[in-house]
Amino acid sequence: MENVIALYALSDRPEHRERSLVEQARDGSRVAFGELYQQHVRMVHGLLLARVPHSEVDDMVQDVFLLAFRRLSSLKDGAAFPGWLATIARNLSVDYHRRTPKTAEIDESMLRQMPPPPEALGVLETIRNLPDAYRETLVLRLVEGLTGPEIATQTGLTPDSVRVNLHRGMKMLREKLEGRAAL
Amino acid sequence: MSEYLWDKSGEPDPEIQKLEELLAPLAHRAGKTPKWPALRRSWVYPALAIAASVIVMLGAVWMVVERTRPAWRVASLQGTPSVTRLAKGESLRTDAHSRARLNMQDVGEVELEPNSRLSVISVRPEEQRLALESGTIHALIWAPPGRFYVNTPSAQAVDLGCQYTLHVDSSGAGLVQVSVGWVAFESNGYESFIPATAACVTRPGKGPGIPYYEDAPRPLIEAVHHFDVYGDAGSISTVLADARTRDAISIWHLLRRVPVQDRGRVYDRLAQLITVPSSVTHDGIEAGDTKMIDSLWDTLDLGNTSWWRMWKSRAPK
Repeated sequence: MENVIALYALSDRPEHRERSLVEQARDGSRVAFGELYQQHVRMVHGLLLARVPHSEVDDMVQDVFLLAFRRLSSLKDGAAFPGWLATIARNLSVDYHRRTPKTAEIDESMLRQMPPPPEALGVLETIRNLPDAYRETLVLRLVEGLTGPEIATQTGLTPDSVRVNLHRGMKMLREKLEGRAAL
Repeated sequence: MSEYLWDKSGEPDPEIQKLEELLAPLAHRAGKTPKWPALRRSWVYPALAIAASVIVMLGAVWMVVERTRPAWRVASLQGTPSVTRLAKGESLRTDAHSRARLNMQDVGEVELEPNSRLSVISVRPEEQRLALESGTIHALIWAPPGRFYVNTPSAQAVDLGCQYTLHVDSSGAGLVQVSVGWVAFESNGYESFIPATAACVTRPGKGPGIPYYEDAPRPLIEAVHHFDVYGDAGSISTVLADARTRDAISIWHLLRRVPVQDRGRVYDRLAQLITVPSSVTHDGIEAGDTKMIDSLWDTLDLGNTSWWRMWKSRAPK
């Protein structure tokens, strides 16, 4: 009986649960992959939002997960899934900037979407202009609503790094926003 | 740093809260989980696994069938064999540096010399048939007489329970040298019976020649070869003149091949070497009476003709 309890306890640990879900998804379970999606979609969304235009993010989130889904067999350690997923998201955003001209055409679907408040886009733009380490962490914290520990778990950064990035990034953002308000 | 910024605990920071509210519309909007396409892995790998299993099973069945299919086992005496079994329709070729030994439990053993090519024509219990296209084999056969055959380009060699060497040259001519027992060479109605220590040549377009003992006088052997090719009267005269008593076997074969006008003198010489049965007459032999010719064979002390005919009744037509 104790063994059974121990097994449950073991599987409840985040890295073991992650590994289990990845293994199931690797075996073709779309339910397991859906769970992985729910767990990490905000992280992926935030990483992309920190790098590419807001209008592109939703589609790119799908691209990231589709790519991950197809390449899942190449992931050796299921516990590394979040960091691996974050890398895919960062790489796709780099690809986006490589292949997309600076001036993009606006299509009809973009016009049908409810545009975000201009103030929000302004602040987001300010965050995007911060150094890489800060903008990613701040978007995840302030836009996606992840806590510092969650950011650490999902991006593969250490909690201390996340803490420092949040602290310094927030300080820098305040300075930028104050400077912009002063204008 | 406020704990609120770190993990949303403690006293909320108004400035951070304001930013959170402002930026919230940009956050991921929870909705339905997208429908993921079926992973290739979900069917590809099982399909591959099934395919692999089927292949393995077919391979196993094939191996069982192959192992149970009658075939000659092949072992190398020299060089590296590329096959371990030789079944019906398969061939084995040795180069200048390789030799092979073929073995079949109830049939016998065949050694293939360098620069030889051997094929398996038939592996039925009642007929084991090989074809020596070129080169040399040494055969040691323990199958019952009349069951082991070797085709050559100009005749088939029929084993009559023996050990022999068969050589086929590039022209298709064959030479059999018998060590133990007997071999029959047969082609197009011609047949030659070759006993131990005797040899016989078979040539394309001519068939089996006159057998001769390898210790026979050289002129006799050369005359036999000349007769095999040309059928000339001079060669007949030489054979008759040089024949020893045991060379009666060559004269007996000659009796069945010479033209009608030469039968009388061939019979006369044979009659000097053996004891002619009373049932045999000069006229009968000249007339080509097969019963009389068989009776002469019986006096050669090589077994009677009933034994010789027995193998023919077992041989496939």
